[in-house]
Amino acid sequence: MAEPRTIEAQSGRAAEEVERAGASLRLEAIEKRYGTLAALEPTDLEVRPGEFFGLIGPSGSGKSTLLGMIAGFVPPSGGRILLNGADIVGLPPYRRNLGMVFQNYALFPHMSVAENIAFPLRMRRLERGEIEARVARMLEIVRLAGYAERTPAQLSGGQQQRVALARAASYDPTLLLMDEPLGALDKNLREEMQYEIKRFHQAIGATILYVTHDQDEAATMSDRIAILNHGRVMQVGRPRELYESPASRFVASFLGEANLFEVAAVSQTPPMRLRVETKDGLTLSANQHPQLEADAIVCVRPEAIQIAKNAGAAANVISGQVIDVVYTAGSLRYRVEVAGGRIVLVRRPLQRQSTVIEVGSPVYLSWDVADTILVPNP
Amino acid sequence: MSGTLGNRIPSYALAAFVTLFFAYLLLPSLIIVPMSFSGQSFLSFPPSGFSLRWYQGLAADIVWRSAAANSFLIGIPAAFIAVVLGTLSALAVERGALRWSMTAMALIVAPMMLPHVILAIGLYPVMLDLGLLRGYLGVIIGHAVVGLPLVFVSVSAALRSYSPALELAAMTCGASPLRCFLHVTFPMIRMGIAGGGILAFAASFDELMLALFLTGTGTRTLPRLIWEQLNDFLTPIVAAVATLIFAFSLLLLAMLAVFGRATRSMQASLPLASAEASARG
Repeated sequence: MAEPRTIEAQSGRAAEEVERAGASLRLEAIEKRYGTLAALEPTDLEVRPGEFFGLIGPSGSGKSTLLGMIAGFVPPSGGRILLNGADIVGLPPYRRNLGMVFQNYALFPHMSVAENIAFPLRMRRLERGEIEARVARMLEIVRLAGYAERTPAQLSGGQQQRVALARAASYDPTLLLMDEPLGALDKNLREEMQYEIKRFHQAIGATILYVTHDQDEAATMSDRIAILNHGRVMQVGRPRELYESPASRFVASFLGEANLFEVAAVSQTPPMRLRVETKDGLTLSANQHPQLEADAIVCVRPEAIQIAKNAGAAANVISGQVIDVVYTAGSLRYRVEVAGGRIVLVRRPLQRQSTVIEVGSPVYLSWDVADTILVPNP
Repeated sequence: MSGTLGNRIPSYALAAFVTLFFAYLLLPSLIIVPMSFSGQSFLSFPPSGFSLRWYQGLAADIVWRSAAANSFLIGIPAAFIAVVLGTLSALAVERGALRWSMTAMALIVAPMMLPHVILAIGLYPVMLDLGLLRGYLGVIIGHAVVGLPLVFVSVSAALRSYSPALELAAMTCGASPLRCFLHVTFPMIRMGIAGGGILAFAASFDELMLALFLTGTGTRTLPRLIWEQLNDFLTPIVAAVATLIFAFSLLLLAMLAVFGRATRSMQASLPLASAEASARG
């Protein structure tokens, strides 16, 4: 009987908290150079109030540098960081009033769970009663109400990360920075904690800037994502936008899997279609692309491709031969050799009745005209 | 034929070797203990007879008592200076963004490698010029130089035992550098500071070369007095002093072991306890 009541109490609180808006964050030409080496090229970025904003990129792409500059650990070489409109570049970390969650939790091992959560409140010289009330509320939000007197060493990794969340948010910061917060957890716990953090975001209402190198994690959790590479923002958008219309070869291959084809020639074919010839010698059909400049590549997602022994009537049909087939959780992954020795990756959901096409079989690959994605390739 | 090295060496042979090894390490120090209870009036081994008169003589002798007092009056301030400077330099090298941190580290640790006689010869004319020769301050300064690298090494190890992210976390929580040190850094490294302080004190308590060069009759330490007495009178009273110093050193070692264990258990409890917690949860 106790269980539903606590859930109800929590959702009631969540509704009340959401009204408090998160901060807006605006980066203007922010950059970081070490000598002649640019860790981050001049970058503009706007994070909206209350947004869950993902920052992803391979290691060395500048995402941690960017986070360090916002937190105040790394002095920028130029540019402005506006938090709710005020430039915070000149402020030391302890005057920025934002919360941060670290990859290895960074809990104070010599303090109890409650003392850890109370730490930022003590630093702000809040009254004892106020501190106790806030600690109790945070423990409830992260569902660790019985754990106040434990030390961090007595908690599991997931519990420690929940304490770190509670500590970062206990003083109601309007911006929370998270630096690979799930990086140290194993896969199952990661997925559970993804939901936990989303729920936490709804409960506290703060703007969250979430750094990860895991593109699935970013896509699952974020309202919007910025993809970084070599110190540059490659593209900003909702996860689905980035996946369905990548603006560059890097974004197309970084987010999910992609079959990429170099384009040799593009010509108009009525009605409103493009006839695309690839350098592998394939002829594909695509929809009109509004801002396609001279050079382009074609991206076809592995799950958009049908595989069959007979040629269908789709807009794009190419023939090939199955090289190998692998079971992965929930799907079959085919590698198919097509004209010119090119390997095409195909992923089909695995259902009980699905028949597996054997290795060596001649097959036809087909996909819809909308699934031939044209990507600018500057 | 297929046994490992450990299986092929008979266990009694290994036990014998280990016993011999420890005897080699400890016997020369332990030999002094029975000698101090000797009934004879000259230093000899094996001692004959049993008496406590050398300890009684020691307690009554103002020269030995003032030397013992001097050892503490010099050792404690020297250890204190070494603790303050050693801790600050460890913080600078481990946490500061120093461009020359490796060079700085080498310079700080150098007195540990350098023969004390070189340091003593170097300090002698300086202390003479400053008028600090044969006073307390000169030898305190000299012993602080000897103790500083010991504190530095001990505190550096403590700083390396936890992630600097702890201090970054404290700062994002709103802690100024001073409060960050008081609430996070100091509690994390206090065992290292205490251990380094004990080592620095023991180094001063034990030190002869600088004491020979820098102290005078009014400020001479126990090691210096032992040295002088060995030259002049070879009575078991020296063995009695040495036995007392030995016992005191054992006490310091025990304190170090306790501090060491406290530090380790704080870190080692992490994986064990979290496994326990997940089993419970």
